Amino acid sequence: MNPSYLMLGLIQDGPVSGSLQQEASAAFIGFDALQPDDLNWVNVTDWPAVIIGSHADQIALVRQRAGLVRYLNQGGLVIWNGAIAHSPLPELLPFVPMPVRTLAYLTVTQLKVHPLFSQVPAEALTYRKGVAGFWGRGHNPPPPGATPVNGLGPQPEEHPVDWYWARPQGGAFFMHAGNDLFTFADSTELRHTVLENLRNWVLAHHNEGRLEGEIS
Amino acid sequence: MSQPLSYSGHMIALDAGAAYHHFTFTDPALSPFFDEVVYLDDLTEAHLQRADAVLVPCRTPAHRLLPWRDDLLRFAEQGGLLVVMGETQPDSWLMPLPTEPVATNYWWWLTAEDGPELQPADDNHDLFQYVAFADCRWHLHALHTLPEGFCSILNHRSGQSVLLEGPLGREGYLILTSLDPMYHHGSFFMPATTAFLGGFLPWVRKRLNQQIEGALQHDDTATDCSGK
Repeated sequence: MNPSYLMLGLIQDGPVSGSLQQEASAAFIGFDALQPDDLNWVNVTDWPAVIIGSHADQIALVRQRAGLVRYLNQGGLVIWNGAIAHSPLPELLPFVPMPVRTLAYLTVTQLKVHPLFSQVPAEALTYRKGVAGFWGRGHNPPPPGATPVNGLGPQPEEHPVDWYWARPQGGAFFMHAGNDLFTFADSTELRHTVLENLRNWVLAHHNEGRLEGEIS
Repeated sequence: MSQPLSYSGHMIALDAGAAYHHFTFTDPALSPFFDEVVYLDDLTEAHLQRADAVLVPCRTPAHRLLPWRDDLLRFAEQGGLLVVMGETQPDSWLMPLPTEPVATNYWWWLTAEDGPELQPADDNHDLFQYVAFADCRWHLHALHTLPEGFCSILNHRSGQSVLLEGPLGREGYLILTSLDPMYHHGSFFMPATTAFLGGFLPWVRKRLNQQIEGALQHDDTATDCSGK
């Protein structure tokens, strides 16, 4: 019996592409294109995670921050892709680009085992056809209490491109300060693995609570 | 690379709120070229009335521009300079523009035999006094068949254009490209796009100077728009 579809909200200032919908469907994920003001009514039981795409209108998210807070306070999981230019929450600080963007500074180091990256080697995040930089070129500074997941460069702890933050007031963020994490890979198999991991982790996070969801 | 000493007119850049737009507009090396940055949801007719040039950055979603179609065309009709950049689907909101989408050539520098496939339409075009041709090469997204009355600045080897200019309406002027340098520059990716913008924006301001001075040709049959 096939698993049921997991519906996720996707805020990216445009429709969900057919190719993404098709690939997500193969991992039993459906994406609903949402607008920032939809956060004023989005229910965490219907959309256990809302993904912010790297092309999202961040000014609109700032203006709809009450909706974002409302969704988080319900226990919602926000998966944020891309650099922060306009921050909707005081805990989220603007993007810090790597001071040097050579291979050594763009190499991804796994700092914590995380279910999103099960069966995804760090080298696959660092390189596409031998070229580095697609995964991230800097980091969005984590709030106190956040858990770094992947870091960049020779001092990866100082440049956490990916981190998880259980928000004390409710809800959680997975931060990925780079291109959309579900489209980054060249290989169809790797994109499928990431989407399957996304499904499994979001369900675990939602069903078992955020702390259990962090255990790999 | 020559640059004019002073810039006339008021250029407004539209902001769709994406992070890369903000990082481009606020880059100290580029911000002097924008007199005003206006978030699209806050755009009013008053902005267009005080603007001499409106710049639509690359990757501004077409659905955000469509409501402004008539106003932007009126702005051009009244003598405005419109700068429209890549991945904004201008054929869906600006004007009929034969457009062939192309698969993004992510790896042209690894597969050199494919090359970036671009060449200057005219080596003597004044843009190349501002931008080195080598800095025009990163990704391709779409190719345009040159509309009548416009001249191409950068051609794909198929003969289609990725950067063109010419009169828009009776009094206006259009600079249009399918290239997306602001997206990459503001994403801290592709150094060529940073170099490109460093020359392209001063050249746009030169064109605005010329438009204000009435030095650009607005004859439909004009083919020499090199600005020399």
